[in-house]
Amino acid sequence: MTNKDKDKNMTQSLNLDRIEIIHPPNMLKEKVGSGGLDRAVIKAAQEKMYKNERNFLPILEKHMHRIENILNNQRMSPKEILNEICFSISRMKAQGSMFNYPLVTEVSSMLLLFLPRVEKIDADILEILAAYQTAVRAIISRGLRGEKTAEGRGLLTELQHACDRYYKFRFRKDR
Amino acid sequence: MFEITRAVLQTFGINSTISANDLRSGWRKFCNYNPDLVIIDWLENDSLEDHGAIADGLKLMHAIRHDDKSPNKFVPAIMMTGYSIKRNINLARDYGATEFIAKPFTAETLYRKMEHMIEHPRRFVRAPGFFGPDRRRQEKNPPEHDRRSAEIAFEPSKENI
Repeated sequence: MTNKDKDKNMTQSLNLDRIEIIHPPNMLKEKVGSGGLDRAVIKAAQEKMYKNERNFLPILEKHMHRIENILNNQRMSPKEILNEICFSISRMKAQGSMFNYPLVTEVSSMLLLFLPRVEKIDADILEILAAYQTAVRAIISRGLRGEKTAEGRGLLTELQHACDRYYKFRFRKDR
Repeated sequence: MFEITRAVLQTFGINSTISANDLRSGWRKFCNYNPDLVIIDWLENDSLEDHGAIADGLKLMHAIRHDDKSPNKFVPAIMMTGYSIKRNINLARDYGATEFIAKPFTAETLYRKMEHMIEHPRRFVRAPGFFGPDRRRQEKNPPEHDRRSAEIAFEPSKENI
């Protein structure tokens, strides 16, 4: 079989004559041209993002209340509860860094790595969730912006230890 | 999220922005104003009861690409979400998003996505079961800022999408 025959067979098997490739006009480029932006402009834009702190606090409160309501919802299964809590935590993870609270993102990421492996909600899990909420509120109330404050790292370490203790205890219990 | 995005866009020199808080007003404004660029925040349904619904952001994306009333089915569209799992990225792509941004994002990330859309616009593909930007990258190596591994281990159940 020649290469031409192979191409023909492939075209027919993929039914490429039913596929249309379209190159729409680049209207954006026609309007903005080329050349890009100065680094200074991008830096200024980032500074503006950090100044939007006042918009983050209502979002945070909304999701913290949501977590509390979910934990009190007796109609939901443990799996549903964990899914919904992860949903709220993922929102806080997404927003934290954008408002110059990278510690909120980091502590939320830590919980998101931990919670999906949990199988049931017991007193230890409730304690870890409470520790998470305490950590997030402390970050906000003390204005712990940036990642390098000793206090901020201390909060992260404490929460990490709580998660580690949970697994060490569970592992010993299940042996 | 709109305010923060608008502040960034204004700093970039984009002064004319239109916002919408929900699917219906988003679609209405898209049809009325025919914008040059669309940024959609993936609006997962916050309700604890209405699971299984397609996210509003995906519905809007689909309407833009498929509805007969869409004033511009080729409009560059960025989908942004805090749920940056692979399945969501694939969904955004399959529903017709041009680019995808995971939250939290920086001003530089948004700028790079926009720059990429301007300098390397995607061709569109019309095929049985799909219409939208070509889901493959034309260049062999995607931009450095676009390479990422899975961000979170959490896989929500179907009900959360």
